Amino acid sequence: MQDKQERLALWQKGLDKAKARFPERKDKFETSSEIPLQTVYTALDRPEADDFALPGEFPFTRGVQRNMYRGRLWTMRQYAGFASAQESNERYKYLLSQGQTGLSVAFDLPTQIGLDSDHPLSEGEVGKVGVAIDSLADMEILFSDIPLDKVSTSMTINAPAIVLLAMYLAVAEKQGVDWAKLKGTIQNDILKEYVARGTYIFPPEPSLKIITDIFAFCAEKVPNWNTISISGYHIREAGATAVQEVAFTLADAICYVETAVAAGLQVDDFAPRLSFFFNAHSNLFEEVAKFRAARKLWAEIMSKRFGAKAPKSLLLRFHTQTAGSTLTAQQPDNNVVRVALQALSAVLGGTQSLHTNSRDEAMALPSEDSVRIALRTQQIIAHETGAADVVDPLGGSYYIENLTAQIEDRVKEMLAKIDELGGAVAAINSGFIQRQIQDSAYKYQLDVETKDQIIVGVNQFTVEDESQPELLRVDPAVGIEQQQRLTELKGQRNAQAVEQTLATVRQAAEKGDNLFPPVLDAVRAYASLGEICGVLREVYGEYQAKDLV
Amino acid sequence: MAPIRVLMAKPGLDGHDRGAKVVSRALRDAGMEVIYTGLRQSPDQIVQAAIQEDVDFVGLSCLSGAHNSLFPKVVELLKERGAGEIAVFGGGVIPEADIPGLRAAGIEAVFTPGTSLEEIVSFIRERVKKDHA
Amino acid sequence: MPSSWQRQLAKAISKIENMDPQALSEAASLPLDNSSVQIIGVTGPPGGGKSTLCSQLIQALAAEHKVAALLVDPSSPFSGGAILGDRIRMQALVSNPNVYIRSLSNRGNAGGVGSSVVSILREVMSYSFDYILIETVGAGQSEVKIASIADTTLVVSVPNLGDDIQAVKSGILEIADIFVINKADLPGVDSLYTALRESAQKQVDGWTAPLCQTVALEGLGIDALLVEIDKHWQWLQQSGRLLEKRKFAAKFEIMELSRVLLQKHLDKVPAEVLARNLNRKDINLLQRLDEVYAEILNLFGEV
Repeated sequence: MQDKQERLALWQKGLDKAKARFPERKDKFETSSEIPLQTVYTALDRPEADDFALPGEFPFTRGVQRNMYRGRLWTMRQYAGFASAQESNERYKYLLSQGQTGLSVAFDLPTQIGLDSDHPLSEGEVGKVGVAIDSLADMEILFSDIPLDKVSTSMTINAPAIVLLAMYLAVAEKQGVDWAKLKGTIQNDILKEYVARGTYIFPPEPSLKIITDIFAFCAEKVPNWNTISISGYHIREAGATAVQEVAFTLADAICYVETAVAAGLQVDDFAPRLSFFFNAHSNLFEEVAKFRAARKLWAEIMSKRFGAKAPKSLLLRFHTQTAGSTLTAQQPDNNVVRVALQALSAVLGGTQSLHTNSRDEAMALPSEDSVRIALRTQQIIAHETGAADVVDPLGGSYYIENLTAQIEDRVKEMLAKIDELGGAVAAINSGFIQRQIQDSAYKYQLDVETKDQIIVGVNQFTVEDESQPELLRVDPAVGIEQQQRLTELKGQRNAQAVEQTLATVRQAAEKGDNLFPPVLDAVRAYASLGEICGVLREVYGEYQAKDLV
Repeated sequence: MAPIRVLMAKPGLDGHDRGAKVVSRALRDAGMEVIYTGLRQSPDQIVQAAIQEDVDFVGLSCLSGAHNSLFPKVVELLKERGAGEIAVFGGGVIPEADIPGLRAAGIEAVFTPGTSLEEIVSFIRERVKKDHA
Repeated sequence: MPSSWQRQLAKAISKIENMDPQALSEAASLPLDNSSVQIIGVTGPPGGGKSTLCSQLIQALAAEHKVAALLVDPSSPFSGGAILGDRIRMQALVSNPNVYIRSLSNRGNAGGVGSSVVSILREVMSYSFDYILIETVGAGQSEVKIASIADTTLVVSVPNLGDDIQAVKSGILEIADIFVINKADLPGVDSLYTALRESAQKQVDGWTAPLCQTVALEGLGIDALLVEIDKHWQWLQQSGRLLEKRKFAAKFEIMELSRVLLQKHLDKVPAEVLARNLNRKDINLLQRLDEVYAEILNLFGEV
């Protein structure tokens, strides 16, 4: 030890001389989370605790399984959906034929906010950022000719998740598929909607109640379904740093577990079905360290804070998406490279599934060509680079281990602060989390303005007169067609059954019973999403944004 | 000199407000008064707020692709209610091919991803100068 | 069409806010003793839910009356710019033809409102509103100015902000005509109630400030609060205190406007004089300022 320190001191002298001759590029080097970086890391910087950590063992820093991708590669899951259920169904079948291994459904904004396509606020939004689903009839088309027992399906749906999952279960019934065979995830993470993504409907309290209803129902009836995907992705997209991303996500997760436990659920009954969703951003090593730290933190939280005993309760399993906010409209082909490196960080960090963004997403929804390149990027990483051949290949690197520990410490600090404020909901209600995210977003933008942060093709290495590639355009007629279909449906269905089932939904909401069974009945009767959410809006009220700038 | 007043709004259902908020802060730091109206605003609400607040500019942000129907609506309503001299600018995920149409509909500037804050601030300042000249 | 008179009023307010001499003198010609409009001030520390409370009050009042709301937020000390965000919670009211909402920066002014606020009030009053609400900067202790201009001042507190007792000690409670404990469903409400009770009973002048509890987010307690606001209004009129309050507001207006004009004058003339002296090579400023000081005295005389 003594010897090593002496050598380092000596080396440092040489370094100072070298610096005098060749000054460094920047005054200070740091990560996105403002973790200061040394010139070099050595055995002296390695945290003592993880001398001989192994993957698949507590605290799972090195991975949730022993052999990871040597057994099965991560699930390649491209988020897709646009226009009508018909068109999205065709895109899904195309993606599956290209070797994609799971589906990821993007819904349009009216669907995500629980409004039907004919609602005045839906104007211009129908089918734009995802597929429009008004009722079970649309859902049947969305999954037609896709056997639900053969694919795993992830649905990015939050406030009305209970309705969309009920629709999925109803489609499975019609296909004759046993619910126990269904695999997939609903995002169902309302807390990050309040701070980062904005597709909330109800206030926190009833929202958390619905989430707990879903946990309870699925634990019994849909045992292999991931009932929530606790998401840091959008928090990061909204401007948070890597440390903030992990801290706020885990704070949200703690809140969900606390709520479910308070409602009488046993932690080991639902914890194995909790999953996570993170962002793969551009600072390669910080991202790898982030994933490792998050796994360790969660394992410790579950075992120490919640006394979880089932091994699967301790595992932080996560989906990753590359960082949409880093994509540039300028020289869009450069985005292929950004995405490849970000995706690599997710693989080196041990993700369970991955979405790679398409190069044209800073301009529009991705075209088919762009989606294919994005998928090929994952396949190249999987099959050509060797990155998937050894578990946690960066484990033991002085730098990575040090960074992992530093992220862990900083996240713990932030979690303590949020506990002090009274937990995630209180921290959201007081605007603390929103302000933290906005401060980071603004700081980042100012760094770009001053060129402390270089964005290739944007504030450096620019070219004049770029022409834009061919973009995907959603036919504006989609909105009108969708409205017509809804009107037709309303004419054909059994109006009495709709009325009755909606009344049962209202009763359950008022009494505080589990909402899932009555929602399922309403869905089966072809009540529309807007009708079901409308009833719930009346009972629960709507969330008033706490929108500080 | 009187501070420039700008209304920043998110028309439609899109919840991505990072850009709107970052721009709001930048305008504040450039000495302007920014009225932020939050998410899910209809063109009618935006225009009524702009009139009540006597703003010089309305800034619209939309990342959901609904800009072609929502942005021109705001300009139309402003004119209809006798507030046509309030200048409207917009930003978000907007394909280049849509920009001429938006400009023709009276959106004076369209800022796409990668635009510097400086650029937005100077657009506003230049526009004010032109107005006073 | 509400937009046309609203546009006219909005433009007039801007001119006054920007201290346009003509607009100021026009506003000054408007009466302040109009007793068909009640001016309600809402103040209290940040995080107390003032905006939510105001939006509930406006909504309730606007069912039968014409209501204007002036929402004041602080300006940035660095740039002078401001982000005025109180409106977010009131956007649902924006299309109500009975309601006019205007966000104002305090333009660097301590005290929760801008200097020209009373002149703005004269202007707004001339549009035959039944109620004018003023929500001040949530700065905590330096908001006593609101009491000088409002007929009825609501001081809003919330349990567990950690500063219950702090608030009691500061001057802000003494300006309350009505105490409001918002977020009254939070724990800690009892101790806050007790602390405020004492202060409330100390009130004199024939009015004992009542203590109301609300949960503004859920609209609870708003009706009861409105009853108290109305009681205070009746009392103001019967006791003759209303005109005294308005006189006080007018005095405040004169003082503020004079202060601003003087400040402008100071910024212009003596700055030039001082600059001249500061640039003299023969004075070492670090050593001696007496000559500069003498110059200042020379300009203004001793006070």
